[in-house]
Amino acid sequence: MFGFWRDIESFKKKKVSPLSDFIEIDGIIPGCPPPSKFLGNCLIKLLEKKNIVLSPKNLCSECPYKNNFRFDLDTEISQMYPHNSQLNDDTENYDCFLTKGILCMGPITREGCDHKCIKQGLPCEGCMGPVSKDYTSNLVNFLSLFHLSNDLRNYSGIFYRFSKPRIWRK
Amino acid sequence: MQKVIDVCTRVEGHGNLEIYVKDDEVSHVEFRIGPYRGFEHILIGKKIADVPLIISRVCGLCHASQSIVSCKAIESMYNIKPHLQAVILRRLLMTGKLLKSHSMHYFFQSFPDLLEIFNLREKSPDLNDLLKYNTQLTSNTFDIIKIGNEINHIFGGRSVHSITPLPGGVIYKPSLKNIKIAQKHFEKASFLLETIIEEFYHLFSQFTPPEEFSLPNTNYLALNKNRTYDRYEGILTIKKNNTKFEDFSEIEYKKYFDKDPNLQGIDFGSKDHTNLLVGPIARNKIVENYGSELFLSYLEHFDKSWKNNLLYSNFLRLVEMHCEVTKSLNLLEDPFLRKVYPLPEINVIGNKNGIAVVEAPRGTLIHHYRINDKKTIEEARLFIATDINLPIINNMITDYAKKLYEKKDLSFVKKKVQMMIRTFDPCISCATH
Ligand code: SF4
Ligand code: SF4
Repeated sequence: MFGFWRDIESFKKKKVSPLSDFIEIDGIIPGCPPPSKFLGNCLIKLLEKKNIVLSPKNLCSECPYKNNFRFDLDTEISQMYPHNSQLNDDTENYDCFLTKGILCMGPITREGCDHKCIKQGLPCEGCMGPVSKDYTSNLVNFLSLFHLSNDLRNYSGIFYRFSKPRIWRK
Repeated sequence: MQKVIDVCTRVEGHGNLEIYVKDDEVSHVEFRIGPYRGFEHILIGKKIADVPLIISRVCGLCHASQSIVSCKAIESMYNIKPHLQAVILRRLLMTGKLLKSHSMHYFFQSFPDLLEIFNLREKSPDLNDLLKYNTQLTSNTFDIIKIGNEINHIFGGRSVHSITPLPGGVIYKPSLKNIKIAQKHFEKASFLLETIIEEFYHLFSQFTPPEEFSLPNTNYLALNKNRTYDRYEGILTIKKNNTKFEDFSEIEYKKYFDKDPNLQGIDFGSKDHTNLLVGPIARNKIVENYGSELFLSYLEHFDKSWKNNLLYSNFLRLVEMHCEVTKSLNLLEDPFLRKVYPLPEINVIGNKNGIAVVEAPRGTLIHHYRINDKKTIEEARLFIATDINLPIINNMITDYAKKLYEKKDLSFVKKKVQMMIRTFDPCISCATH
């Protein structure tokens, strides 16, 4: 072998934790990426030695489609994303994703992003972070309200979206 | 053996410089990229529709290239071709990100160094000094960065980590108003870039660039379309010994390099393959036609000593930005941009292996995925430009450090070697994917 490579065995055992687990932090600026105006305002707050205040509301509270949400215990959530045919159909685009059986993280995600994905016709993937403290418990409570299709029940990408399930790490 | 470690400053991501000194001589120098992040492992088991959005998080600077190449790889598995409008939108997104990436590199990383290398300033100025030194350039650069962001906001839905590129196409119908806004942005960028390019050659072209920065005998690799500049699609070309061209398609990448999923970095197979350079200089060596006539007139200002020098890449970055802005202005007038095409259905797997390539701002970027019957990812291999450049970076900085150490001043070596690393424009975030 030629090249500059490193064994990743030692990295595989490592766990990623938020900075706040290790040191006292000044505040959280959520979002991936944080919305630019919000980021600017947060920095100004920090310079003024004030606290960053995060919205206690979830994304649904201001969602343009919230009125089209029809909660039905029989609704089965079976998709992570709309199919391309659904994206092509303009009339489909005015319903809440959950009503259409597509998993949208809006209910457990903090508002503040101006519904960027929703406006483009895609469900929220939760990049603004959990609205209340803990993502996992939020998600468990949220998912327990619905019928999840078998396919999604076995899908690791809901809980472990940007990580790998621990059980697979040898 | 003594090992001296220094943190690289003013580069994208966290990297270290390690200098090994033995018997009062530098034995070798290594540019060490930061901790492994494991995107290739994270992707395992993920559904294909999730992949472009996850992979975009590899880097906040070239996320457009990452998500677009990932869409292309998925499309190659399903044998679908995105329609023309989607291709135009993807090209515009890539241009937006190129503007941001190149202008930030030029202004924050290389321009201060250039001032020092050519003795125009005693030491690399920091941002405050730069503001005083050249207020106009500072504000022009910030304008270009902003334009890059705005373009991605318009066509990508978000200025970083675009939402719109999907496997099969792009989910976005540009309104006339948005096209007009984009046009204004590009026109402004074109004007600003012309002034920056002119300033560049007024300042530097009269000098001869330092010998240490001239490139060793290297092979160059870049994507191109019949030797015209194209970062979205085409054929890969390797130029050997500055004379021989070898064309190959991205699916044959294993001829030149491969990857072991349990190791970080690229396996080049044999030592001959390690001296491969990608990036603006490689594109310049391979591409004959940039699609812009202005480009040739700019080139005349530099003599031969520049053409084989690493510092020339700074100028090429500026020119690339200008060429792409000119092309984007034409793309905005393309009648296909406003046509609406349905996205193709993604149903039947044609090939379980999907391989695709684009030319990211820093060089060739290849993604290779293998999926299983459940349509989830089984294996992913990402070949990142900075990873490909690492052996050359290390060779060049070792040679440079050896020469510099004759003065026995390690802090001087550290400082100078970092300048060379910065000229390569490494993206450590990407390389630690
Ligand atoms: S679940 Fe999603 S689509 Fe539905 S109201 Fe909430 S944010 Fe909007
Ligand atoms: S809709 Fe959700 S995923 Fe999209 S930007 Fe907002 S918080 Fe992030």
